[in-house]
Amino acid sequence: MLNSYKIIIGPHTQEKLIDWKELWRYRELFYILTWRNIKIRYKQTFLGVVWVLFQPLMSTLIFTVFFGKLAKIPSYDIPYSLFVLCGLVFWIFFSSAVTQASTSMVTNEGIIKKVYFPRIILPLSFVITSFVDFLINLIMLIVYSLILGYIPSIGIFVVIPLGIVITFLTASGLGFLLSAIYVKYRDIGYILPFFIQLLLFLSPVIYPLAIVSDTNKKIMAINPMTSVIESVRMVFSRKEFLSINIILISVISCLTVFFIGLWYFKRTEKFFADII
Amino acid sequence: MKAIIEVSNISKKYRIGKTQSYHTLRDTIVEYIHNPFQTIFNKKGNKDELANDEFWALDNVSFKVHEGEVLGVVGRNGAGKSTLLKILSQITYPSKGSITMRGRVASLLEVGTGFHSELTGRENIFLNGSILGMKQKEIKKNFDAIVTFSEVGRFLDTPVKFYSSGMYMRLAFAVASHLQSEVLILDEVLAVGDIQFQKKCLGKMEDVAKKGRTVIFISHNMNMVRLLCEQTLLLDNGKTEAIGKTDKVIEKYLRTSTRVDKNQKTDLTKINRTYTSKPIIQKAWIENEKGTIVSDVSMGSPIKIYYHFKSDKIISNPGFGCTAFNLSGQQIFSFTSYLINTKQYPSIKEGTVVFNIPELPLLPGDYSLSFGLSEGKSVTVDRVDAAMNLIVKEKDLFATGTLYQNDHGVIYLKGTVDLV
Repeated sequence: MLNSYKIIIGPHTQEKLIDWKELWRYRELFYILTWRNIKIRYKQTFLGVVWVLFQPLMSTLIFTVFFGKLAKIPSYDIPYSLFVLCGLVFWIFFSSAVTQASTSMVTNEGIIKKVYFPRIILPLSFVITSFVDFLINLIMLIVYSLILGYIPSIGIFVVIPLGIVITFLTASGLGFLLSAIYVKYRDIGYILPFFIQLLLFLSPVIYPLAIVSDTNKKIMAINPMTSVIESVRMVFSRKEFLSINIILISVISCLTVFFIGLWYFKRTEKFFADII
Repeated sequence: MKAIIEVSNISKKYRIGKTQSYHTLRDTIVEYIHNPFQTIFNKKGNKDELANDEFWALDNVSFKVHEGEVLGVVGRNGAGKSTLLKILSQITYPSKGSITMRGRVASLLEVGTGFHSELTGRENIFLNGSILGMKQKEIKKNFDAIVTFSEVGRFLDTPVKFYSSGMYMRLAFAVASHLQSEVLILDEVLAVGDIQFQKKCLGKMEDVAKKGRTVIFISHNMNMVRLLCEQTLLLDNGKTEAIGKTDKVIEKYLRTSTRVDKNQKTDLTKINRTYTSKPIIQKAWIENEKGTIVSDVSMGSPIKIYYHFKSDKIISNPGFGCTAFNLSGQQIFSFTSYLINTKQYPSIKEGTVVFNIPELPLLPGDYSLSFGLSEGKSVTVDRVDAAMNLIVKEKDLFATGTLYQNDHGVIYLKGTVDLV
């Protein structure tokens, strides 16, 4: 056993950006933390897991009444409710992942101060937790679309997995960055809800990207969720309205956010226990 | 043979006070405005020099632990024990130096880390075990042993928020004590719960330490350290004061922790205060019946404990206290003015208090004295914890030829035993 396992602790132990070997060793902790997050979420609730469906359904209803029926926002020739639900399912995945990952360090302060494990597991486990909720919502989206008689195109098998990857990476990157800053600056706690709210309106969730000008489309594409949401709609409405440029901008932006977040997290994680 | 843990020249720098509170962006901006150069300078970190609000919590500490060794770490509060523990457990990092560890390390700084009140006992065993670094397989294998040890079997499927604090602690310790790793870092404060369970905990720690595992054991309890560790490290102000055979090191610890040469007044101004900021109580000493200053007294003899205090402000309605602890940290007595009389002492800035004990009812051993000075009953003006040691020597007080031992308790009683 001896020597099979060697750790050197020093002030400048420069680690790799992702230490896969170590993460693999801690794989069970991933599983158990995710399991915990899911388990405690709906403890002592009467409706339990039904609450996962509540948020997208309620929002869809409200948005459909106000923006679909009253404001008559165009929706690529599919019912506005389906249109907005496409956006919401991915948006809720993104926003809850970012929110929970960002606060993960501070809410788990007790563990961080007392035990070592790769810190990155914490925000990631919350992104995975949101992903599990997302899967339930995704099934609901497909069922709803089938009920309305809209059969998604074959592209669904490409678009959905890619959408998941992009949402996952962006949310993780933002989660890494914000959670690391949150450790030092509690201001994040105040900014975050506002930031998420703002981002909802900057993403084409309740309106189609088609209604903004070409230049603005490119600016909006910096937000990776723009491409994700719009391409999911392409699948359900069987139309093509997203240029490759837009998608490219989103992918680059997604990777940038992810690596900046990861880099900043890695750079600061050594001091978490000292300053949290 | 290579050492399983090799600590070479580690130092850790901390900033005083500031890091304790929440840091908001405004604080940082204010810091920059107040002192732009220093703040930028500090950003560099890891420098040899200290800014004036920094201090070395650990200063150039080195040691080696070989496989199967049990190393004790002792020292006063604030000596750097916890910092060393945290660095060894990779929770925080040294500012200088490095540690090489060859083997799986598990550390126990606290029991119940990550326990979630909404989850049941069973679920928490798995959660807590995983967080502490156990594999699911290991937890399953030890599950029954954990449950038996914790004595909470019947409530295994009840959320722990409905547990009594005793049950909670027992379960938490039970999980922790079944950690399987080559190296174990233990803090003695882990022994929790009621006296009986505490004994069980200490017994378990003894088991672990004697089973040939490599253990680093941090403790205030000299008896435990004596019992478990062949080697001991003594820290003082972040520096290695001594390392070597346990008996020798403990002896040195007890001698230096009084911070005086024998039979002199003890200067208390340099001791860190936990509750107050300024040292008001200046020095303290013990006199025997002849009026000479001593550091050890015979059991049963009359002693006088003195402290001298000096304050800038007048202390109205002052109260004076002297508290004794044994080396396991158990409080033995509180000799406090408002507990033993209703006297109104005059308002005063400076003075000397004498605690007059006509007969010291303590059994032989080492005790630690703390002093307090208050305004009225409740406002603490100064408090010095572990200010000085009181060594009680054995004496055949009742002329029976049989001496009192440690396991006879803490105090002796005067009286008679008769058949009626």
